[in-house]
Amino acid sequence: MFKTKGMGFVKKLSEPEKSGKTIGLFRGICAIIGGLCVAYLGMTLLIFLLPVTPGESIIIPLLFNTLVWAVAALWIVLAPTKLSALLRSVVPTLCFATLIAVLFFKESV
Amino acid sequence: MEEAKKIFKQRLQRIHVAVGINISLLLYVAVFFGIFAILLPFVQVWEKPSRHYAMPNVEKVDYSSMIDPVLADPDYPQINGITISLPGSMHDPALRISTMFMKTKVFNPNTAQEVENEDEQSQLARFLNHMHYGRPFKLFGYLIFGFMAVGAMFLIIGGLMLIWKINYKSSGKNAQSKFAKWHRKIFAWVFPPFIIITLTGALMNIGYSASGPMAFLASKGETFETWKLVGPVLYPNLARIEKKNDIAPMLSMNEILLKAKAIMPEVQIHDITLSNWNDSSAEAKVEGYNPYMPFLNGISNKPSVTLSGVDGTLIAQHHVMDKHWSGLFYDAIFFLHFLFGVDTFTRLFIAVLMLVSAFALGFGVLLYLEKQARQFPHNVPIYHWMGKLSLSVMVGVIPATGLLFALQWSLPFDLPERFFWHKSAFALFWIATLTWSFYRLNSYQTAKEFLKLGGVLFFISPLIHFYASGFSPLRLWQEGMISILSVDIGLFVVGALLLWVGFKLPQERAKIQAFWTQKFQPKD
Repeated sequence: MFKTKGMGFVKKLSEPEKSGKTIGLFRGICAIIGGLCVAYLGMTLLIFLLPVTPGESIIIPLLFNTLVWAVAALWIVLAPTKLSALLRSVVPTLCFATLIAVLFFKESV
Repeated sequence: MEEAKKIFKQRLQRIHVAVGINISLLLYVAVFFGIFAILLPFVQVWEKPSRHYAMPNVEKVDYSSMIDPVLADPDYPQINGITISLPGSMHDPALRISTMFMKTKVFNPNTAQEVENEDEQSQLARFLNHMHYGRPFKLFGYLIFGFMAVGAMFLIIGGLMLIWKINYKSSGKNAQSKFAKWHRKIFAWVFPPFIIITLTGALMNIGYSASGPMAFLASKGETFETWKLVGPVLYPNLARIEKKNDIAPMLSMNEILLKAKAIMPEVQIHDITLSNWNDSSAEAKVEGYNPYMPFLNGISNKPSVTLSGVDGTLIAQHHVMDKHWSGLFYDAIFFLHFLFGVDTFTRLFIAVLMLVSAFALGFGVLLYLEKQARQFPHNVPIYHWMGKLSLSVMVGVIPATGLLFALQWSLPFDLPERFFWHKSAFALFWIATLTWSFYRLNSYQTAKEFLKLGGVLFFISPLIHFYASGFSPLRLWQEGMISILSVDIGLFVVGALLLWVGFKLPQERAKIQAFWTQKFQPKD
């Protein structure tokens, strides 16, 4: 019973809207919050990937954090369906967060 | 597939309009006051009686006669280090000596006499700069302007995508398509510097304050303070040197500067930092700007030499390229925003670029309003709240700023709380324009009134300056105060232009349509 309901919700989200003339709160929140998470975590991951000390490498992510936020928000808001907007904000966030967690704890273990 | 493409384009357009109209006015305010912030070095000199003298020839100034007596004074605290700013840095003709907890000493290098600094009493240039990034509203202002900058980057990228994806035609003949054309054309040209400037703006307003968690993760849980990580790379502290606790004779400032100049002849020297002066461990760090390497130095990266105060031996030297690459990158990105050390031509060029962008923003808002207005027939007067608000913010700000300039030399300098009166008059006046634009039915009539009023205020401010300062244009010219005179001329020209436009603009709706759609070509 619950499962079908849940699937129905997903199905509803994956139907493309008939018109692009309204953006909607759902996309808006995905873009702003999701875009921020993707950008912030992606840039944090970059600090770990750059092969210099944190003080030196944090400058680039600091500078580009807000630009990447804008780009990510645009990417998410333009997704073809609501479901893909949600996925575009959740999947990279989780990926980046996992990688950061791995790198964060790697050397201290 | 076609359907999906159509919806994508619709959405792209819709989100551009929605975000655009929401941040347009704030972005306009930032750009408008940004133009004055670009010209800050000149306004800063123009506004102060203590700066009304010629820029000295920095090669010939007798620095020792001003600085050495201060350093020899046993009551002048030297424990925290002393910073000396030389004439010419940021176009300031004065020499300044400062240390913690003491009033800054200001000297006229032409006469070597100390002059009374206005300090808090005269803050015109500072205030214009603060308006540029929301400082009058403290944290709230920073956040709003910061988010607005993120929105601006969103708009720039979305706008470029729009131009790329949609085949716009510039041949439309009505006012709406003219606005669209100019909004598009201007930003298609100015976006590269614009996006770098908004990027650094966003960093300064929200980037640093939001970077705590990032610093925590990057430092593996050591600190939330980004500056603890970045500080040593960008702005390393001066090393603490142990005092020997003796008294040694020091080199004179002229000798120190000559030695520094000999070691780095390509650098324009801006300031000197003294540590442990009059002790045998004394050091003088001489810093400046290397104009042969623009974009790479001037913000966090300053070429310098550190000399011993006793005999002038070279203790350390920092070249432009000694900085870590991330520091060089930081300076390169910030260079366009801060314009430290650049020549007057570049400064004016960027100012013009920003002025054009302000117009492009105006065209964007006009495009939106015109689309709203076209839902009604021509004979129906349009009263749209956004139109009235934009009118007050975008045009009303001109007479309000004119008032700031006109008041600078008409308020007495010894007036208690002078700056408070100054900025309050500005704020009240600006809000009054809001009331007025909502009161008047015809927005074009209001715009004409604001422009004329602004024109008068800008026009009279140089006259007030000549009268109140006692410096006639001729005297300014003869005594070599070119940067002050050029501010006067600039204000005069702006005033005249505003008056001209104010009288020239039409105010009936039919004529307005004709005005916008006419071909802007010189008639022969």
